[in-house]
This record gives sequence, C-alpha cells and structure tokens, in this order.
Amino acid sequence: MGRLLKAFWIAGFLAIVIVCLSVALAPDRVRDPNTVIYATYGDIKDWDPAVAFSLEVMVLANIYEPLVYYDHTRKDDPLEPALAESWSVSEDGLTWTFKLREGVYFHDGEPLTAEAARLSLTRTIELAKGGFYIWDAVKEIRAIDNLRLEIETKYPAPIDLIASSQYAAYIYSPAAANAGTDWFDEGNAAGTGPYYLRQWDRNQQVVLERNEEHWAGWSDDSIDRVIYKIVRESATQVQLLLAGETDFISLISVDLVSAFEENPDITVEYIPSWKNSQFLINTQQWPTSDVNFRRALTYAWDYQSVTENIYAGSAETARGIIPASLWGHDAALETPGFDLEKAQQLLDASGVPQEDRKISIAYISSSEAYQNAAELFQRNLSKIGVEVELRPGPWGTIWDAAKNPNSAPNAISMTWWPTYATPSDWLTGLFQTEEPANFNLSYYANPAYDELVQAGLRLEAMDRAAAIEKYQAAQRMLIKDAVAVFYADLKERIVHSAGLSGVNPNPAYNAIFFREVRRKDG
Amino acid sequence: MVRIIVQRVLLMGLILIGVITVTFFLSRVLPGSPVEMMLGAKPTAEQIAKAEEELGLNKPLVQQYGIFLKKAAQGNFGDSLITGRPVTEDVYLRATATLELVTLALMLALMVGLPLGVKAAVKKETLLDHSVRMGSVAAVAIPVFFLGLLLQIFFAGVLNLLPLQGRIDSGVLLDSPFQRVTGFYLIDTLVAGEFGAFASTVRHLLLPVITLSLASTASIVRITRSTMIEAMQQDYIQTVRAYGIEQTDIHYRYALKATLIPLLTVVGLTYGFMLGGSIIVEYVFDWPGVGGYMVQALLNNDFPAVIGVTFFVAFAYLSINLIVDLLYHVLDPRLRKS
Repeated sequence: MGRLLKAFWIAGFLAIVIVCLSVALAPDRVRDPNTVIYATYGDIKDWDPAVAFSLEVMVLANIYEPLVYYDHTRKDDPLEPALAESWSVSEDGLTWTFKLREGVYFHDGEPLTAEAARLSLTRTIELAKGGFYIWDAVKEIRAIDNLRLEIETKYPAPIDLIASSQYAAYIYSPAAANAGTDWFDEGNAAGTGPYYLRQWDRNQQVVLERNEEHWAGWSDDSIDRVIYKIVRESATQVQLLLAGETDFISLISVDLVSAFEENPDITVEYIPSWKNSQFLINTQQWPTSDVNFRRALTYAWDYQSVTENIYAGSAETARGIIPASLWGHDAALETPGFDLEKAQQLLDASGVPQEDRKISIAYISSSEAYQNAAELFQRNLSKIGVEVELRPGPWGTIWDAAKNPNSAPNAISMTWWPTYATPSDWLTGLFQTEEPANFNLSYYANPAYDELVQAGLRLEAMDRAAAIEKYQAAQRMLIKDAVAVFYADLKERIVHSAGLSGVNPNPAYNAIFFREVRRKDG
Repeated sequence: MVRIIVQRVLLMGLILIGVITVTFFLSRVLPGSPVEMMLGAKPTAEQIAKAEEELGLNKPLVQQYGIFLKKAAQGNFGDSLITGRPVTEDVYLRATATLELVTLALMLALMVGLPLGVKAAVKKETLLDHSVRMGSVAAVAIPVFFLGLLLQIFFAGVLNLLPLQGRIDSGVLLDSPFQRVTGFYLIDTLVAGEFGAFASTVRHLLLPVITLSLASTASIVRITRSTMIEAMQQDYIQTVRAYGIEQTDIHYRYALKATLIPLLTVVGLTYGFMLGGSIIVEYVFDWPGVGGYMVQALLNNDFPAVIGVTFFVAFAYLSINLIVDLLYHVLDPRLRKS
C-alpha cells in the first residue's frame, strides 16, 4: 500500500479522534445565573475615558463614575449624587464646590480624593480629545481639602450638568492618569464603578467583574460578571439570544421585532432617548436658499407615516429640535404638518421658477429608515413638481461633501444627541453660525439667533427657567426660517431575555447599568 | 534554481510596491475623509483639523506618498484609524486567525478530495463515480453563506452540539488564559497545556472549516479525477500493470503522481484566494480574521488599514505562487532541465 495513503489514513483517523473527544468533552452548557452576556457589534477602540467618544461608553459606564448622575425619572431635580455627595454654586455662578464621598477607592486601590478628581478632570481637559469641549467654561480646578473640589469658571456655566456627562466627565485613578492613554489602550482601567475590567481579548470579548468594595454596596442577587461578546452579524446575535447564550443583543432588525414581542422568553423595551433625527436644509444653496421654498419642503414631509410606518414604534414625531424627554422641550411649539396643498402654495409664493425646482438629498446609505423616509419624501415632492435627487453614502463621504459649499446637497440627514444634558447642544451644534461649516450643514447664519442661544447658555447655570425662554424663542426662529425638517424623536429599543429585571435604561447614558440588573427566579 | 528564486523575489517586490501605490492613490482619491471615524461621533472642527495635520493629510499628495513609502519600507503602515493600533499589529493578529482557518480547511479538502477523486477515477462510470461528481457539482453550487447558516442551524441550533460563533468559549478564555505565541490557537493551547481550551478551539473550528472547505474539496475531486483518468491510460501505467504490481500501489504511487502538478496549481490558487476570500465565512461565524478587518476598514475609509490589509493579501498570494512555482521544479524533472 502506498505510503502516502497510509499517512493519509493515520492523519484522518487522528483528526477524527480529536474532533470526537473535543465534542464529547464539551462542558455542559449551564449558564452561571450571575453572569450576564451582552452581544455587542463592535470592539472597544478607546479605553481612555478622556478620549472615549463613541460606542465604548457602554462598557465604561459600568467601570467609571462621574461626580453627578443625571436621572431622567426625577423630573424637576434630575441630578443625583454619584462621586460627589453634594454640590453648590457661588452667588455669581462662577465657582462650584463639590463635596466628594468619603471612603471611595479606585479599582487599583488608590483612594478617591479631591486631588485625584482634579488630576483626572484637568488631564481630560488638557488632552483635548473626545468630548473635552464641554468643559470650555472652566478656568481652574482646585482641591481645597481632601474631599472638596472647587471648579472656577470664566463665565456662568451649568457645571453640575456638565459633570454628569457620559463623555469626558469620568473620574479615574491618579496612577492611571499618569500612566496615560497607551496604558489604557492596552486594555486597562481604574475607575470607582461597580465593576472592574477583568479581561479584554481583542476582537472577542470584554469581561467585567463585580467590584466588591463599591461604595453603594451589593445585594446577594446582584450580577457578578458581565461579558460583552463581540458578535458582528445580526442573524448570529438573534440565534444566540434564542438559544439563551446571550442576554442582550445590540443589532435589531425591524422585521424581527414583532416576532420578538410574541416570544415569551424575550422582552422588547422602548425607552425615550435624547437622539433625534432631522433633515437639515441648506439655506445658502439655490433653490433652498429661498425661505418659502424651504417652508414648502417642511409641509411636504409626511410626519405621521414616517414615524408610524417607517420607524414602526421606535420613534415619535418630533416637535422642534429639542426632544420631548429633555428639559427645555417646548410642547406648545407650532410646527409644520403634512399638507401638500399648503406646500404647493408656498412653492408658488417662492421666487423659484418651475424649472429650478430640483433638490438633492444626502443620507447615510446603511440606514433603512433614512432611505425609506427620503424615498417617501421624494414621492410626495414629485406630486407638487419638485424633483429630488437622492445621494446616499457612508457618513464620512456625505459629511465631507456637505461641509464643502460647492458640493453640499440641499438637504442632509442628521441624527443628534447632546454631549451633556442640555438643549443648547442642538441649538449651538447644529445651527449657530459657523465658518467653515462643521455640523451646521444648514449653513444657517443669523446673528439674532446666535445672540438668543448664547444668552440662554449664560443663564443655564443660575436660572434654567429664563434659559428655557431664550431657547424657546430661538426654536421659533428655526421653525420660521425652516432650516430643517424636524421629524423624529428616537426611542431606544432594548431587546433582552425575559429572565432579567432592573434593565433601567437612562437616556443620558448609552449603557445598561448592570448593578441594577437582577435575574428573576426560575 | 537560485537565480530563479532571486528573480522571482525581485519581481515580487516590484509588484508589491505597485499594489500599495495603487491602493494609496485610490484610497486618497475616493471621496470622504478618514478622520471623522477616528474622532468619535461629534468632533469639533478644531479636532478634525488637528487630526488631519497629525496624519499629514493636509500635505500635497506626492509628499504624503513619499512619507508613506519611507515608513512602509520600515514595515510601518501607520496606525489604524478605527482601532488606534499599528496596522501591522492588527493585521498580524487577525491574519493568524485566518491562516489557522484556511490551512485547516485546505487540509480537510485535500484529505477528503484526493481519495474521493482517485476512487471516482478508478471506478469510472459507476454509481460511485456518478454520485461523487454530482456531489461536487452541488458542493460548488451552494453559496458559502447559505451553507454556513444551514450548518449553524443544524449543529448549533437543532443538535446543540457545536458552538455558533467565535474562536473559543468565553468562559474558557476567561478561566484558562494562554499565551499567544503563534496565534494559532490549536498550537498555543497545546503548548500551554490547556486541553480544555484546545478542545474548545477544535469545536469552534469545525463548522467554519467544513463550510470553507466544501467548495475546494469539490474542485480537488474533479481535478484529481480527470487527471487520474488520463494518467491511467498512459503507457507507463500499462507497463506497471504488466509487472503485476498491486492495484492500490498503481493508483496511489504511479498514477497519482501525474495529478500532483495540476493539483498543486489548484491548491496554490485556492489557498491564496481563501486568505482574502474567507470574508463571508468569517462574517457568518464571527471569526476574528482578516476578512472582517478588511470590510471594516473599507466601510470607514480607514486608509492605513486598507493599505495594510491589501499588502498582506497580495504578499500572501504572491508568496504562495512563488512556492508553488518552486515546487513545480521539485516535482517535475522536466522543468529542471530546461
């Protein structure tokens, strides 16, 4: 018999033995009830809390804590103590004092002191990465004694709200601050939060383990371990969820939601988020430089159909730019509705001749919702004689084109959320005069508007009611000038196994706080 | 022989420079700036300008290219804008995952395909031959992602026998961490003496390896069969037969040799193709390999990563071609003379 053949048989036999043994030796798939698995679609990029400005906050929110938490369920007084027990502001609104919690330790054993907090915040600001700009007002940060932190500002600013941000506001250990970004990015962390980072295996998983020393204490049925498993494919996530091998999934296809809702083992929750979607209308480019033409566009949008059919439960029709779940929202704001007749009248009143009634609309091509909404808009506009050219593309590409006045489309999709809990984030970020354009892709330039928004910003620290008045006036200006089609306040859709309780999402943080999660009996 | 090798290696160098040059200019010419993805959701205009300056994106294109070539010559392709790490490190980490998958898939394809091809050729026009040929047509025809899903549904879903995705169990990875020396988990776990982790790796490899190997098994069967049939009609086989040598020896020792050259071509091409083409299998099974990295890099305008990954695939392809060519010389005495 040929030697080759013999070698073949032996190798084949060995392989079969190994495979059989491996399958037979597989451990029983009994899940530890105190471990929760979350299927995430992307790996962590920035472990440095001073840099992280994306998906990673989902993990960081369980490892780190800010000075103050924002709790949207506490309507009038949404801020609650986190690392700071109490805080106050001087009468001129320029000096904030935070009294820190005593006996709190970082995961590396260092104690939380005012000096540690100062070091952490100062480093974040000086690094100038991620969302550091929320601290723009800060002049100096001082540790007055072991537990008292003083923040002095150049102008009155709502430092309490800013300190509750999920970006650029986490307090980390001084040793970590000294070790720097490279140390963090090797997969290290040192916060005060309820979980510490046990393992990061790149492209595969992140494992958090309960921090026994956490200041808020633990109960017996708390979750011990959280595994963020990287599963990039939505169908695979679904299969894992159905097989009970994950508790949460992060990629949810709209088509599957109704099937999930009927499945007793799966819970679908909708919670308000601070994200909202709009199409920004270019106010400089012909023909949308004509205000009546822009107004016509805002009346040609079928608001109800878009939220009810296209977003299918995951959005509500927006009223203005500030979402209904955030302070400063104006429920009485008069906004345009779907009315093609009115749109036609406005078109005719505009100075745009028939042959010029052509516009281009850019949107993120991977978003089914944008695509369907834009196509519906296109159809409705064609009924009143406006021709629409759709320009889908990846965000990087359409954003670049929109920032250049020569290649900018007449309208572009935009989903926005605040870096910290303030309505001014939309008003300044999207519509304040900007040269060159960054996110003000409406190219809106209105000094009266800018003044109103800036006045509101100054009032936010001391007199929020007065700030709201300014913001409301500014919003009315945006509606009058028809700078965008404001159409959807988005809801966060969370899909998890029905065996879990305490999943209390908070619009201020894109994360599940696992300290509050419990596994129901049975 | 040495001259041939030197010639080929020099040529390879030229081709690689050409490949990265084309990729460099293509990635710069296409619309969309890469820094937006790098800076998170809402960067300020100042942050963008600063990042562009750091990356040298505001310099003239030719100057950028010069800087890039100089660094590339030192093996530095820059940092990925998505992961923030050196591209070479990223690609190496992921390439080992892909190599492990592809190598095993090809080995499986050979181990199944060769004997099947020989058998089909020997039993030409019998039921066995017909079923093998039908089977290989079907195997080539099934789309890879569909096969992957079917296997997942059956072995993971219905039988609950094999894992659905990933390279290793979460718990195993946590409780028995092992040193990544080669990046091949089968080897690393054995070296570390972590047999539980080894078994877990085997279980995770099974489905993707089978999925990836099926189509190449079919082409190996077909090549082996047709060249075997041709070889069996040659005079030298008649001679061997006349000597009264045993049938299996005739098949596997004398006739099979004739199939080695065309087989080598197929194996070489398949290996090279699989390195870049296992994207779909990697995607379906969440295999953390080069394929997923490539897709992510392309979707996000991650220039350095795109160039790095293209370089890797081109390099692997060319190296395999070189090895195949050299093996021709070893296997075929006729080539050595000329």
